Amino acid sequence: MDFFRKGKEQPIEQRPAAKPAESVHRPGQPGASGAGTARDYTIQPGDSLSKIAKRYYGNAGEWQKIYQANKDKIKDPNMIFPGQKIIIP
Amino acid sequence: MMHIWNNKLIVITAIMCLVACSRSENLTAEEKIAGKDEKTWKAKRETDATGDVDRLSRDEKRESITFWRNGNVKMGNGDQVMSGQWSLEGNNLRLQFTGSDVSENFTVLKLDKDQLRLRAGDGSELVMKPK
Repeated sequence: MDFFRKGKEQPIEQRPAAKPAESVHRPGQPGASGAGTARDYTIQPGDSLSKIAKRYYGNAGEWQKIYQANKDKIKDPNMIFPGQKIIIP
Repeated sequence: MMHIWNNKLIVITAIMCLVACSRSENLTAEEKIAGKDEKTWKAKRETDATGDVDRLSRDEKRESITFWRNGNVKMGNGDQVMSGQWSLEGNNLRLQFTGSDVSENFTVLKLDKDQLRLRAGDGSELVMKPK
């Protein structure tokens, strides 16, 4: 139900144990001091790149940043599928 | 004499009915949402922020959401399923779906064992009935 994607969104307080699984280091960058980290994200029903961009960056217009980081997985930015795993840079 | 006994019998029966009814309604908010163990709800009607009815799609009519008392929640139509955790704080229903970094929060406008009415962040409202 799309309705359940329209709630007032609040960031989740990450549990310490879950944090390492949520974060991966960006390839080619050092893993020091948390800089240059990206997050794994699994596409949910009703998602679009602009919705994800709004959720993570507060600006739907930054969807291209996500698209560029996942060009190997996303052929068409209008075609993403639930269950697909992408990286949020 | 018989007439007085009949009246007493009616009063006693009425009191017993009232007690029984009030006991069956004495559920916590969590029990109304998730039943004793689990409870499944289906969308009945959705309205947008202006109050206009949004027609539910065929897929949306197939979808249901199940709340467990242990805090788990599952939503889907059989083909696509989303699961996560739910909690109720006052009149705020909080859903956190697995894989999402944000929780979705809804205002509970009406809650009884036969109806759940929620308002989303954009002002739209959803009325749900138990499956």
